Amino acid sequence: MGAGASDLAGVEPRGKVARAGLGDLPELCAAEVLLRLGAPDVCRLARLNRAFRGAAAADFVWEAKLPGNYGRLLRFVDDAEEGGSGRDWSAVGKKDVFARLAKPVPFDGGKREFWLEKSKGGICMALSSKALVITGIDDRRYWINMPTAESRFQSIAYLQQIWWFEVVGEVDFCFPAGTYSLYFRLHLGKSSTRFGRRICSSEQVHGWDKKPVRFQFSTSDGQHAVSQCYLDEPGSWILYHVGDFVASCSEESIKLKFSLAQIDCTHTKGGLCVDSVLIYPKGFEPERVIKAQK
Amino acid sequence: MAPPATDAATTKQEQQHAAGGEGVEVGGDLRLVAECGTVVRLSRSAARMSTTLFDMIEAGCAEGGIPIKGADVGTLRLVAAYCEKHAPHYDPVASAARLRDPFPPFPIEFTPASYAVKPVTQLDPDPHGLEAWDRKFISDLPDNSALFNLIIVANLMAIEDLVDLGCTAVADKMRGKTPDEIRVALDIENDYTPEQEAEVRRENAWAFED
Repeated sequence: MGAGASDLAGVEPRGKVARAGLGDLPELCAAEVLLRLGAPDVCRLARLNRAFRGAAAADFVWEAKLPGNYGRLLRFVDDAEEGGSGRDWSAVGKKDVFARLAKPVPFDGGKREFWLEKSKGGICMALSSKALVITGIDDRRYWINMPTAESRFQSIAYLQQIWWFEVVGEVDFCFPAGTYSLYFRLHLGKSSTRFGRRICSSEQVHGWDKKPVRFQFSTSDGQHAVSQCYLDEPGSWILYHVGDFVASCSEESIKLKFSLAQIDCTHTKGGLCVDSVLIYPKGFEPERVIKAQK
Repeated sequence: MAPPATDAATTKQEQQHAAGGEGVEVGGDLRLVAECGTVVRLSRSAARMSTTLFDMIEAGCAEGGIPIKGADVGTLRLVAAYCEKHAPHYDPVASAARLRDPFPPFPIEFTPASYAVKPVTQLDPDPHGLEAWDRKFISDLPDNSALFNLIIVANLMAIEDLVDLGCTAVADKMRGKTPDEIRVALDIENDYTPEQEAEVRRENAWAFED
């Protein structure tokens, strides 16, 4: 079948054919290669030589990596930055747009932030404990706010003890089309630093082995998930997976409601750090993940 | 594979591709002439994967030898083998849709509803074995120079699927590697001065933070 299929193996170019190098690829082909690579790789390739520096700065290469609704996302940048309002984003190169969105963009008074995950360009979001509704948060017998460098918000909500444990949150955002996972970032035990070393104290940890905690999650377009899980593994930050959702349209916002609860009042529970709720593109798991049972 | 049904979004050219150039006399194989003068034959059905050749067939000037400028016979044979293998399953509409967005951030998955009783049938993702064949085709290339030649000739002949295969292979070779590793692997000369290199490093540092 076909021409010369039998002598494919070990074909030697005959005559005076120059050995083709990467530099011989037509410009469009070099750009095609860059279109298939993530931001860190493209930025690495800029260091190869001057020709690659040019190709790696091309607007269309970066525009393809930006989420479809990046214009809308840039308005959050304007709101967040002093004197940033009125910046003419159409005059900014797409590589610089990507670089800006890859840094956290705060909103809701700094209680929430979103950013582009660099290697694939998906949107990530973090909600601090201050953006969540925590039952009894104002009562120092139950909850205290603890400053810590282990949270991207520099502060977490620490539960000493309580009967009614409930943390609720909401998000209303235009997520670029795709599949996302929602997590609670939790830590059993209190950590501190002594003489440069991280020490974790589990003295106040109790009650989590009696009954599981319950995760609930629903979206404005009818997606939902319910699961439960025993909190465990004191001493490390864990991402407890609540559920996945699909954002089908980048132009429409989707409302999410989620909660974490253990409200059995026959026992108290405590010794838990609640850092944040995280929304990541599905499959992006930068920390230990535990998936609850249905 | 039957030609796709008339679709408003399909361009006239894609329709003609799918129809196998109906209305054109079904003649013999095309004769492509490499730089050294050797002839490489290509069937008409395989030739429709090349927009350049397809246009020539339509215009009626595909008789006689067709010189492919700058193409060595080895690369031309590889291109012909690729086209012959893919021609029976070639769907220009599907190809165009796939190639429109070569870097989606991540795939959109639709998980089946929890109340669905019927199990979702697992479709074979590679029903004709073309993906496996493509992987072997690329890995059998003797060296990077052969890969670049393949892309150059495929680009010349406007065979989009083959350009995509080649560029994806090059991207795969580069992914995750340092510039030094790529320079060695792909034989690229560094034409930066130390000051320029430091500047490029600085302006791209944001991609490696946190």
